[in-house]
Amino acid sequence: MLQALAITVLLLLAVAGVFAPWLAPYPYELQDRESPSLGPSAKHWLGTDDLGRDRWSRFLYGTRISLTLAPAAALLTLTVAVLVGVLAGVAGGWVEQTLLAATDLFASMPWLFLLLIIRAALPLNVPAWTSVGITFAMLGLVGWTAAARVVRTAVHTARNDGFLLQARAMGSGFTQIWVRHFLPNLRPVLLAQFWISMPLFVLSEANLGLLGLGVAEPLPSWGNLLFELTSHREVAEAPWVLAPAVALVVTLLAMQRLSRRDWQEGVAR
Amino acid sequence: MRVAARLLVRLPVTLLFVGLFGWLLVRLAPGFGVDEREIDSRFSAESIAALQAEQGATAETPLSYARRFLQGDFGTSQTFGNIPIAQLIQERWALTTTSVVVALMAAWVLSIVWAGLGALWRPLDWSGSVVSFSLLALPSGLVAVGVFLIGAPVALGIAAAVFPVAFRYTRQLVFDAMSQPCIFAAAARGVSRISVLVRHARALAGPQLISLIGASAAMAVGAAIPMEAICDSPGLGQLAWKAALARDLPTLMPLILLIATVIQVANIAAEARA
Repeated sequence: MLQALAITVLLLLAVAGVFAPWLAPYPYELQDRESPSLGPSAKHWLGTDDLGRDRWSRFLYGTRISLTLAPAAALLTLTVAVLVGVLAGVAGGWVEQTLLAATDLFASMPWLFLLLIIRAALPLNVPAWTSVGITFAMLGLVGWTAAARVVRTAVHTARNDGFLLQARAMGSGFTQIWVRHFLPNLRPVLLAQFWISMPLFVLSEANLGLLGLGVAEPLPSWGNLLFELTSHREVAEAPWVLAPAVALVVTLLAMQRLSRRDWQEGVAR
Repeated sequence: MRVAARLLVRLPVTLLFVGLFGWLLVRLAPGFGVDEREIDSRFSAESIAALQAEQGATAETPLSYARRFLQGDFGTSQTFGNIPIAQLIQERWALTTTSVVVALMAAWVLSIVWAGLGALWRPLDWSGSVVSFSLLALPSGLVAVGVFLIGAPVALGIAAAVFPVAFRYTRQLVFDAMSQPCIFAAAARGVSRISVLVRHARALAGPQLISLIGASAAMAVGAAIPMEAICDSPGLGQLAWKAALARDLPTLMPLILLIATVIQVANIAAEARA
Protein backbone atom coordinates (compact mmCIF):
# COMPACT_ATOMS: atom_id res chain seq x y z
CA MET A 1 0.00 0.00 0.00
CA LEU A 2 2.67 2.51 1.08
CA GLN A 3 4.89 1.30 -1.73
CA ALA A 4 2.14 2.00 -4.27
CA LEU A 5 1.51 5.41 -2.71
CA ALA A 6 5.21 6.26 -2.96
CA ILE A 7 5.32 5.24 -6.62
CA THR A 8 2.17 7.27 -7.36
CA VAL A 9 3.59 10.39 -5.67
CA LEU A 10 6.85 10.13 -7.59
CA LEU A 11 5.03 9.51 -10.87
CA LEU A 12 2.78 12.53 -10.32
CA LEU A 13 5.75 14.76 -9.58
CA ALA A 14 7.64 13.37 -12.56
CA VAL A 15 4.67 14.09 -14.83
CA ALA A 16 4.38 17.61 -13.35
CA GLY A 17 8.06 18.18 -14.06
CA VAL A 18 8.09 16.74 -17.56
CA PHE A 19 4.98 18.66 -18.63
CA ALA A 20 5.93 21.86 -16.77
CA PRO A 21 5.99 24.01 -19.95
CA TRP A 22 2.38 23.01 -20.66
CA LEU A 23 1.11 22.95 -17.07
CA ALA A 24 2.71 26.19 -15.92
CA PRO A 25 0.48 29.21 -16.50
CA TYR A 26 3.45 31.58 -16.86
CA PRO A 27 7.11 31.33 -17.88
CA TYR A 28 9.23 30.76 -14.77
CA GLU A 29 11.25 33.94 -15.28
CA LEU A 30 8.35 36.28 -16.13
CA GLN A 31 8.33 39.19 -13.70
CA ASP A 32 5.21 41.19 -13.01
CA ARG A 33 6.52 44.27 -11.26
CA GLU A 34 2.97 45.43 -10.57
CA SER A 35 2.16 42.43 -8.38
CA PRO A 36 5.07 41.34 -6.18
CA SER A 37 4.59 39.19 -3.05
CA LEU A 38 0.94 38.38 -3.68
CA GLY A 39 -0.98 35.71 -1.80
CA PRO A 40 -2.66 32.75 -3.49
CA SER A 41 -5.43 33.66 -5.97
CA ALA A 42 -7.13 32.16 -9.01
CA LYS A 43 -4.52 33.89 -11.17
CA HIS A 44 -1.52 32.81 -9.08
CA TRP A 45 -2.26 29.58 -7.22
CA LEU A 46 0.74 29.90 -4.88
CA GLY A 47 1.00 33.67 -5.11
CA THR A 48 4.00 35.55 -6.45
CA ASP A 49 7.51 36.08 -5.13
CA ASP A 50 9.09 39.47 -4.39
CA LEU A 51 9.92 39.91 -8.08
CA GLY A 52 6.33 39.22 -9.10
CA ARG A 53 7.10 35.76 -10.54
CA ASP A 54 4.38 33.13 -10.35
CA ARG A 55 5.32 30.65 -7.60
CA TRP A 56 3.28 27.74 -9.02
CA SER A 57 5.02 28.01 -12.41
CA ARG A 58 8.42 28.22 -10.74
CA PHE A 59 7.54 25.21 -8.58
CA LEU A 60 6.66 23.13 -11.66
CA TYR A 61 9.87 24.06 -13.47
CA GLY A 62 11.83 23.55 -10.24
CA THR A 63 10.40 20.05 -9.97
CA ARG A 64 11.64 19.37 -13.46
CA ILE A 65 15.20 20.46 -12.64
CA SER A 66 15.48 18.81 -9.23
CA LEU A 67 13.92 15.52 -10.27
CA THR A 68 15.77 15.25 -13.57
CA LEU A 69 19.20 16.07 -12.29
CA ALA A 70 19.15 14.00 -9.10
CA PRO A 71 19.07 10.74 -11.14
CA ALA A 72 21.83 12.14 -13.35
CA ALA A 73 23.98 12.81 -10.28
CA ALA A 74 23.13 9.32 -8.96
CA LEU A 75 24.30 7.81 -12.26
CA LEU A 76 27.55 9.75 -12.06
CA THR A 77 28.07 8.56 -8.49
CA LEU A 78 27.40 4.97 -9.53
CA THR A 79 29.85 5.21 -12.42
CA VAL A 80 32.65 6.34 -10.09
CA ALA A 81 31.60 3.78 -7.46
CA VAL A 82 31.65 0.94 -10.00
CA LEU A 83 35.07 1.96 -11.28
CA VAL A 84 36.57 2.16 -7.79
CA GLY A 85 34.66 -0.80 -6.32
CA VAL A 86 35.30 -3.18 -9.20
CA LEU A 87 38.95 -2.23 -9.45
CA ALA A 88 39.42 -2.73 -5.69
CA GLY A 89 37.49 -5.99 -5.64
CA VAL A 90 39.19 -7.49 -8.66
CA ALA A 91 42.75 -6.30 -8.11
CA GLY A 92 42.89 -7.11 -4.39
CA GLY A 93 46.17 -6.74 -2.48
CA TRP A 94 47.78 -3.33 -2.16
CA VAL A 95 45.60 -1.80 -4.90
CA GLU A 96 42.51 -2.71 -2.89
CA GLN A 97 44.03 -1.47 0.37
CA THR A 98 45.05 1.83 -1.23
CA LEU A 99 41.64 2.35 -2.81
CA LEU A 100 39.88 1.52 0.44
CA ALA A 101 42.08 3.92 2.38
CA ALA A 102 41.40 6.62 -0.23
CA THR A 103 37.67 5.90 0.00
CA ASP A 104 37.75 6.20 3.80
CA LEU A 105 39.68 9.42 3.56
CA PHE A 106 37.27 10.80 0.99
CA ALA A 107 34.29 9.80 3.13
CA SER A 108 35.62 11.64 6.17
CA MET A 109 36.09 14.97 4.36
CA PRO A 110 33.98 17.98 5.31
CA TRP A 111 32.31 17.92 1.90
CA LEU A 112 29.87 20.73 2.43
CA PHE A 113 32.81 23.01 3.15
CA LEU A 114 34.61 21.84 0.01
CA LEU A 115 31.44 22.28 -2.04
CA LEU A 116 31.30 25.85 -0.76
CA ILE A 117 34.85 26.39 -2.06
CA ILE A 118 33.96 25.02 -5.49
CA ARG A 119 30.83 27.14 -5.66
CA ALA A 120 32.76 30.20 -4.49
CA ALA A 121 35.36 29.66 -7.19
CA LEU A 122 32.76 29.99 -9.95
CA PRO A 123 32.39 33.37 -11.63
CA LEU A 124 29.47 35.55 -10.56
CA ASN A 125 28.05 35.61 -14.07
CA VAL A 126 28.03 31.83 -14.53
CA PRO A 127 25.13 30.94 -16.88
CA ALA A 128 22.16 29.45 -15.01
CA TRP A 129 22.22 26.14 -16.89
CA THR A 130 25.95 25.79 -16.30
CA SER A 131 25.33 26.26 -12.57
CA VAL A 132 22.77 23.43 -12.71
CA GLY A 133 25.30 21.12 -14.38
CA ILE A 134 28.08 22.10 -11.99
CA THR A 135 25.92 21.76 -8.87
CA PHE A 136 24.81 18.24 -9.70
CA ALA A 137 28.17 17.16 -11.14
CA MET A 138 29.94 18.14 -7.93
CA LEU A 139 27.30 16.40 -5.85
CA GLY A 140 27.67 13.30 -8.01
CA LEU A 141 31.44 13.33 -7.69
CA VAL A 142 31.51 13.49 -3.89
CA GLY A 143 28.82 10.93 -3.07
CA TRP A 144 30.43 7.74 -4.38
CA THR A 145 32.26 6.44 -1.30
CA ALA A 146 29.55 4.36 0.38
CA ALA A 147 28.43 2.92 -2.96
CA ALA A 148 32.03 2.01 -3.86
CA ARG A 149 32.38 0.02 -0.64
CA VAL A 150 29.12 -1.86 -1.35
CA VAL A 151 30.19 -2.60 -4.94
CA ARG A 152 33.58 -3.84 -3.77
CA THR A 153 31.90 -6.20 -1.28
CA ALA A 154 29.53 -7.42 -4.00
CA VAL A 155 32.51 -8.03 -6.32
CA HIS A 156 34.22 -10.01 -3.58
CA THR A 157 31.12 -12.14 -3.06
CA ALA A 158 30.55 -12.69 -6.77
CA ARG A 159 34.22 -13.46 -7.42
CA ASN A 160 34.05 -16.47 -5.15
CA ASP A 161 30.75 -17.72 -6.55
CA GLY A 162 30.57 -20.97 -8.50
CA PHE A 163 29.19 -19.47 -11.69
CA LEU A 164 32.41 -17.60 -12.42
CA LEU A 165 34.50 -20.71 -11.88
CA GLN A 166 32.14 -22.59 -14.16
CA ALA A 167 32.36 -19.90 -16.84
CA ARG A 168 36.15 -19.99 -16.61
CA ALA A 169 36.15 -23.78 -16.82
CA MET A 170 34.01 -23.57 -19.94
CA GLY A 171 36.69 -21.43 -21.56
CA SER A 172 35.03 -18.03 -21.38
CA GLY A 173 37.42 -15.16 -21.94
CA PHE A 174 38.05 -12.27 -19.55
CA THR A 175 35.71 -9.85 -21.36
CA GLN A 176 32.95 -12.42 -21.71
CA ILE A 177 33.12 -13.32 -18.04
CA TRP A 178 32.96 -9.68 -17.00
CA VAL A 179 30.37 -8.38 -19.45
CA ARG A 180 28.06 -11.39 -19.64
CA HIS A 181 28.31 -12.94 -16.21
CA PHE A 182 29.78 -10.55 -13.70
CA LEU A 183 28.25 -7.14 -14.39
CA PRO A 184 24.66 -8.45 -14.71
CA ASN A 185 25.10 -9.92 -11.23
CA LEU A 186 25.91 -6.46 -9.87
CA ARG A 187 22.67 -5.04 -11.25
CA PRO A 188 20.54 -5.47 -8.08
CA VAL A 189 23.27 -3.87 -5.95
CA LEU A 190 23.62 -0.96 -8.37
CA LEU A 191 19.87 -0.47 -8.56
CA ALA A 192 19.62 -0.35 -4.75
CA GLN A 193 22.51 2.14 -4.60
CA PHE A 194 20.83 4.28 -7.26
CA TRP A 195 17.65 4.52 -5.21
CA ILE A 196 19.62 5.25 -2.06
CA SER A 197 21.67 8.06 -3.59
CA MET A 198 18.81 9.85 -5.35
CA PRO A 199 17.18 11.31 -2.20
CA LEU A 200 20.62 12.32 -0.96
CA PHE A 201 21.16 14.45 -4.04
CA VAL A 202 17.72 16.03 -3.82
CA LEU A 203 18.54 16.83 -0.16
CA SER A 204 22.00 18.17 -0.94
CA GLU A 205 20.70 20.41 -3.70
CA ALA A 206 18.04 21.71 -1.33
CA ASN A 207 20.69 22.50 1.29
CA LEU A 208 22.94 24.30 -1.19
CA GLY A 209 19.90 26.17 -2.54
CA LEU A 210 18.84 27.20 0.96
CA LEU A 211 22.29 28.69 1.42
CA GLY A 212 21.99 30.55 -1.90
CA LEU A 213 24.79 28.45 -3.40
CA GLY A 214 22.87 26.02 -5.58
CA VAL A 215 21.25 26.47 -8.98
CA ALA A 216 21.65 30.08 -10.13
CA GLU A 217 18.72 32.44 -10.72
CA PRO A 218 16.53 32.86 -12.67
CA LEU A 219 16.31 29.06 -13.08
CA PRO A 220 14.12 27.58 -10.35
CA SER A 221 14.96 24.44 -8.41
CA TRP A 222 13.48 23.17 -5.17
CA GLY A 223 16.65 24.35 -3.42
CA ASN A 224 16.54 27.95 -4.56
CA LEU A 225 12.76 28.09 -4.11
CA LEU A 226 13.38 27.19 -0.46
CA PHE A 227 15.79 30.12 -0.21
CA GLU A 228 12.71 32.28 0.31
CA LEU A 229 12.24 30.55 3.66
CA THR A 230 15.42 32.12 4.98
CA SER A 231 13.51 35.38 5.08
CA HIS A 232 11.75 34.28 8.28
CA ARG A 233 9.02 36.87 8.06
CA GLU A 234 7.70 35.09 4.96
CA VAL A 235 7.05 31.77 6.71
CA ALA A 236 4.79 33.22 9.38
CA GLU A 237 2.96 35.63 7.11
CA ALA A 238 2.84 33.54 3.97
CA PRO A 239 2.75 29.82 4.79
CA TRP A 240 2.20 28.97 1.10
CA VAL A 241 5.94 29.57 0.53
CA LEU A 242 6.28 26.19 2.26
CA ALA A 243 4.82 24.41 -0.81
CA PRO A 244 8.25 23.42 -2.24
CA ALA A 245 9.31 22.25 1.23
CA VAL A 246 6.22 20.04 1.49
CA ALA A 247 6.86 18.64 -2.00
CA LEU A 248 10.49 18.00 -1.11
CA VAL A 249 9.65 16.17 2.11
CA VAL A 250 6.92 14.08 0.42
CA THR A 251 9.31 13.18 -2.41
CA LEU A 252 12.07 12.21 -0.03
CA LEU A 253 9.71 10.10 2.06
CA ALA A 254 8.52 8.37 -1.10
CA MET A 255 12.08 7.76 -2.30
CA GLN A 256 13.10 6.47 1.13
CA ARG A 257 10.12 4.17 1.11
CA LEU A 258 11.38 2.68 -2.15
CA SER A 259 14.89 2.21 -0.78
CA ARG A 260 14.12 1.64 2.88
CA ARG A 261 16.42 -1.29 3.45
CA ASP A 262 19.68 0.59 3.23
CA TRP A 263 20.79 3.85 4.68
CA GLN A 264 23.84 5.82 3.63
CA GLU A 265 23.20 9.42 4.55
CA GLY A 266 26.64 10.82 5.49
CA VAL A 267 27.38 13.08 2.48
CA ALA A 268 24.06 14.92 2.14
CA ARG A 269 23.74 15.98 5.72
CA MET B 1 51.59 3.53 18.56
CA ARG B 2 49.16 2.52 15.82
CA VAL B 3 47.20 5.74 16.40
CA ALA B 4 50.35 7.79 15.95
CA ALA B 5 51.17 5.88 12.75
CA ARG B 6 47.67 6.47 11.39
CA LEU B 7 47.86 10.15 12.25
CA LEU B 8 51.24 10.41 10.57
CA VAL B 9 49.91 8.89 7.34
CA ARG B 10 46.33 10.17 7.14
CA LEU B 11 46.77 13.72 8.33
CA PRO B 12 49.43 14.79 5.80
CA VAL B 13 47.53 13.05 2.99
CA THR B 14 44.31 14.84 3.97
CA LEU B 15 46.01 18.20 4.27
CA LEU B 16 47.86 17.67 0.99
CA PHE B 17 44.66 16.72 -0.82
CA VAL B 18 42.48 19.48 0.65
CA GLY B 19 45.28 22.04 0.42
CA LEU B 20 46.16 21.32 -3.20
CA PHE B 21 42.50 21.17 -4.18
CA GLY B 22 41.79 24.53 -2.53
CA TRP B 23 44.99 26.14 -3.82
CA LEU B 24 44.14 25.05 -7.37
CA LEU B 25 40.64 26.48 -7.08
CA VAL B 26 42.00 29.75 -5.73
CA ARG B 27 44.40 29.97 -8.68
CA LEU B 28 41.72 29.07 -11.23
CA ALA B 29 39.06 31.34 -9.73
CA PRO B 30 38.08 34.25 -11.96
CA GLY B 31 39.79 37.46 -10.97
CA PHE B 32 42.74 35.76 -9.28
CA GLY B 33 45.85 37.96 -9.35
CA VAL B 34 44.01 40.86 -10.93
CA ASP B 35 44.81 44.21 -9.37
CA GLU B 36 42.20 46.88 -9.99
CA ARG B 37 44.99 49.43 -10.37
CA GLU B 38 45.73 47.74 -13.71
CA ILE B 39 42.62 49.37 -15.20
CA ASP B 40 43.31 52.78 -13.67
CA SER B 41 43.97 55.09 -16.62
CA ARG B 42 46.33 57.21 -14.55
CA PHE B 43 48.86 54.37 -14.45
CA SER B 44 51.34 54.26 -17.32
CA ALA B 45 52.12 51.09 -19.25
CA GLU B 46 55.43 50.80 -17.37
CA SER B 47 53.69 51.08 -13.98
CA ILE B 48 51.15 48.41 -14.95
CA ALA B 49 53.97 46.16 -16.15
CA ALA B 50 55.75 46.73 -12.83
CA LEU B 51 52.55 45.87 -10.93
CA GLN B 52 52.14 42.66 -12.92
CA ALA B 53 55.78 41.74 -12.33
CA GLU B 54 55.30 42.38 -8.60
CA GLN B 55 52.26 40.10 -8.51
CA GLY B 56 54.18 37.41 -10.37
CA ALA B 57 56.95 37.64 -7.81
CA THR B 58 54.60 37.39 -4.83
CA ALA B 59 52.36 34.66 -6.29
CA GLU B 60 52.29 31.81 -3.82
CA THR B 61 53.30 28.26 -4.54
CA PRO B 62 51.58 25.41 -2.64
CA LEU B 63 54.82 25.03 -0.67
CA SER B 64 54.99 28.65 0.43
CA TYR B 65 51.30 28.56 1.32
CA ALA B 66 51.83 25.40 3.39
CA ARG B 67 54.76 26.99 5.19
CA ARG B 68 52.71 30.08 5.99
CA PHE B 69 49.78 27.87 7.11
CA LEU B 70 51.97 25.84 9.45
CA GLN B 71 53.28 29.06 11.01
CA GLY B 72 49.68 30.09 11.77
CA ASP B 73 49.75 32.95 9.28
CA PHE B 74 46.52 32.58 7.28
CA GLY B 75 46.58 36.08 5.81
CA THR B 76 43.86 38.69 6.09
CA SER B 77 40.24 38.62 4.95
CA GLN B 78 39.22 41.49 2.69
CA THR B 79 35.54 40.55 3.00
CA PHE B 80 35.58 40.91 6.77
CA GLY B 81 37.37 44.26 6.83
CA ASN B 82 41.03 43.24 6.53
CA ILE B 83 40.92 41.30 9.80
CA PRO B 84 43.50 38.51 10.16
CA ILE B 85 41.81 35.22 9.26
CA ALA B 86 43.41 33.54 12.29
CA GLN B 87 41.61 36.07 14.51
CA LEU B 88 38.29 35.45 12.74
CA ILE B 89 38.66 31.72 13.28
CA GLN B 90 39.75 32.13 16.88
CA GLU B 91 36.72 34.29 17.69
CA ARG B 92 34.27 31.76 16.26
CA TRP B 93 35.94 28.47 17.03
CA ALA B 94 34.53 28.00 20.54
CA LEU B 95 30.92 28.57 19.54
CA THR B 96 30.93 25.99 16.74
CA THR B 97 32.93 23.46 18.74
CA THR B 98 30.49 23.73 21.64
CA SER B 99 27.46 23.37 19.36
CA VAL B 100 28.93 20.39 17.52
CA VAL B 101 30.09 18.57 20.67
CA VAL B 102 26.79 19.14 22.49
CA ALA B 103 24.84 18.06 19.40
CA LEU B 104 26.92 14.91 18.94
CA MET B 105 26.51 13.98 22.60
CA ALA B 106 22.77 14.65 22.56
CA ALA B 107 22.19 12.75 19.29
CA TRP B 108 24.22 9.70 20.32
CA VAL B 109 22.95 9.47 23.90
CA LEU B 110 19.37 9.72 22.64
CA SER B 111 20.06 7.15 19.90
CA ILE B 112 21.69 4.67 22.26
CA VAL B 113 18.96 4.98 24.88
CA TRP B 114 16.13 4.89 22.31
CA ALA B 115 17.58 2.00 20.31
CA GLY B 116 18.44 0.06 23.47
CA LEU B 117 14.98 0.44 24.96
CA GLY B 118 13.52 -0.24 21.51
CA ALA B 119 15.18 -3.65 21.56
CA LEU B 120 13.18 -4.38 24.74
CA TRP B 121 9.90 -2.76 23.80
CA ARG B 122 8.68 -2.82 20.19
CA PRO B 123 6.55 0.36 20.19
CA LEU B 124 9.64 2.40 21.13
CA ASP B 125 11.59 0.82 18.29
CA TRP B 126 8.79 1.60 15.89
CA SER B 127 8.49 5.23 17.07
CA GLY B 128 12.26 5.71 16.81
CA SER B 129 12.21 4.44 13.25
CA VAL B 130 9.36 6.79 12.34
CA VAL B 131 11.15 9.81 13.85
CA SER B 132 14.46 9.02 12.16
CA PHE B 133 12.68 8.25 8.87
CA SER B 134 10.92 11.63 9.01
CA LEU B 135 14.03 13.59 10.02
CA LEU B 136 15.94 12.05 7.13
CA ALA B 137 13.46 13.65 4.74
CA LEU B 138 14.23 17.13 6.06
CA PRO B 139 17.15 19.10 4.64
CA SER B 140 19.36 20.57 7.39
CA GLY B 141 18.52 24.03 6.07
CA LEU B 142 14.82 23.45 6.61
CA VAL B 143 15.49 22.14 10.11
CA ALA B 144 17.49 25.33 10.69
CA VAL B 145 14.49 27.46 9.68
CA GLY B 146 12.38 25.55 12.22
CA VAL B 147 15.05 25.89 14.90
CA PHE B 148 15.21 29.64 14.30
CA LEU B 149 11.44 30.04 14.37
CA ILE B 150 11.09 28.28 17.72
CA GLY B 151 14.18 30.03 19.10
CA ALA B 152 15.96 26.77 19.94
CA PRO B 153 19.78 26.51 20.17
CA VAL B 154 21.81 25.67 17.07
CA ALA B 155 23.00 22.47 18.76
CA LEU B 156 19.45 21.12 18.64
CA GLY B 157 19.36 21.55 14.86
CA ILE B 158 22.72 19.82 14.43
CA ALA B 159 21.56 17.02 16.73
CA ALA B 160 18.42 16.65 14.58
CA ALA B 161 20.67 16.19 11.53
CA VAL B 162 22.86 13.57 13.23
CA PHE B 163 20.16 11.69 15.15
CA PRO B 164 18.50 9.77 12.27
CA VAL B 165 21.80 8.33 11.08
CA ALA B 166 23.01 7.67 14.62
CA PHE B 167 19.74 5.96 15.55
CA ARG B 168 19.71 3.70 12.51
CA TYR B 169 23.30 2.55 13.00
CA THR B 170 22.79 2.07 16.75
CA ARG B 171 19.55 0.18 16.22
CA GLN B 172 21.25 -2.14 13.74
CA LEU B 173 24.18 -2.76 16.07
CA VAL B 174 21.92 -3.41 19.08
CA PHE B 175 19.72 -5.81 17.09
CA ASP B 176 22.79 -7.62 15.72
CA ALA B 177 24.23 -7.89 19.23
CA MET B 178 20.93 -9.10 20.68
CA SER B 179 20.79 -11.95 18.16
CA GLN B 180 24.20 -13.36 19.12
CA PRO B 181 24.27 -16.89 20.66
CA CYS B 182 25.88 -15.60 23.88
CA ILE B 183 22.90 -13.31 24.43
CA PHE B 184 20.49 -16.22 24.00
CA ALA B 185 22.63 -18.24 26.40
CA ALA B 186 22.50 -15.45 29.01
CA ALA B 187 18.74 -15.12 28.59
CA ALA B 188 18.36 -18.90 28.89
CA ARG B 189 20.24 -18.78 32.21
CA GLY B 190 17.63 -16.40 33.52
CA VAL B 191 19.53 -13.11 33.20
CA SER B 192 16.99 -10.29 32.93
CA ARG B 193 16.52 -8.59 29.54
CA ILE B 194 17.74 -5.23 30.82
CA SER B 195 20.82 -6.85 32.30
CA VAL B 196 21.47 -8.68 29.02
CA LEU B 197 21.23 -5.38 27.18
CA VAL B 198 23.39 -3.37 29.56
CA ARG B 199 26.04 -5.95 30.36
CA HIS B 200 26.33 -8.12 27.26
CA ALA B 201 24.91 -6.30 24.21
CA ARG B 202 26.76 -3.11 25.20
CA ALA B 203 30.06 -4.98 25.20
CA LEU B 204 29.35 -6.36 21.73
CA ALA B 205 28.11 -3.16 20.10
CA GLY B 206 30.22 -0.64 22.04
CA PRO B 207 33.47 -0.64 20.05
CA GLN B 208 31.70 -0.20 16.70
CA LEU B 209 29.55 2.56 18.17
CA ILE B 210 32.60 4.53 19.24
CA SER B 211 34.08 4.46 15.74
CA LEU B 212 30.72 5.55 14.32
CA ILE B 213 30.58 8.49 16.72
CA GLY B 214 33.94 9.64 15.33
CA ALA B 215 32.69 9.22 11.78
CA SER B 216 29.60 11.31 12.51
CA ALA B 217 31.77 14.32 13.43
CA ALA B 218 32.07 15.26 9.75
CA MET B 219 28.30 15.14 9.42
CA ALA B 220 27.78 17.37 12.46
CA VAL B 221 30.34 19.91 11.22
CA GLY B 222 28.64 19.91 7.81
CA ALA B 223 25.24 20.49 9.41
CA ALA B 224 26.68 23.44 11.34
CA ILE B 225 26.90 25.48 8.11
CA PRO B 226 23.17 25.77 7.33
CA MET B 227 22.29 25.95 11.03
CA GLU B 228 24.63 28.84 11.80
CA ALA B 229 23.96 30.58 8.49
CA ILE B 230 20.19 30.54 8.85
CA CYS B 231 20.04 31.00 12.64
CA ASP B 232 22.53 33.88 12.45
CA SER B 233 24.89 32.21 14.91
CA PRO B 234 28.41 33.69 14.53
CA GLY B 235 30.37 30.45 14.31
CA LEU B 236 32.69 28.88 11.77
CA GLY B 237 29.78 27.61 9.66
CA GLN B 238 28.45 31.10 9.25
CA LEU B 239 31.96 32.36 8.49
CA ALA B 240 32.35 29.74 5.75
CA TRP B 241 28.96 30.58 4.30
CA LYS B 242 29.59 34.33 4.25
CA ALA B 243 33.03 33.77 2.76
CA ALA B 244 31.54 31.51 0.06
CA LEU B 245 28.86 34.07 -0.82
CA ALA B 246 31.51 36.78 -1.04
CA ARG B 247 33.80 34.42 -3.00
CA ASP B 248 36.45 34.98 -0.37
CA LEU B 249 38.57 31.90 -1.09
CA PRO B 250 41.58 32.97 1.03
CA THR B 251 39.29 32.87 4.10
CA LEU B 252 37.69 29.56 3.14
CA MET B 253 41.00 27.76 2.60
CA PRO B 254 42.48 27.79 6.15
CA LEU B 255 39.02 27.17 7.55
CA ILE B 256 38.63 23.99 5.54
CA LEU B 257 42.16 22.83 6.25
CA LEU B 258 41.57 23.24 9.98
CA ILE B 259 38.22 21.47 9.91
CA ALA B 260 39.63 18.61 7.82
CA THR B 261 42.42 18.24 10.39
CA VAL B 262 40.04 18.17 13.35
CA ILE B 263 37.74 15.65 11.66
CA GLN B 264 40.63 13.33 10.81
CA VAL B 265 41.96 13.51 14.37
CA ALA B 266 38.46 12.77 15.73
CA ASN B 267 38.10 9.80 13.37
CA ILE B 268 41.47 8.35 14.25
CA ALA B 269 40.89 8.86 17.98
CA ALA B 270 37.52 7.11 17.73
CA GLU B 271 39.03 4.22 15.76
CA ALA B 272 41.75 3.89 18.38
CA ARG B 273 39.20 3.81 21.20
CA ALA B 274 37.19 1.22 19.29
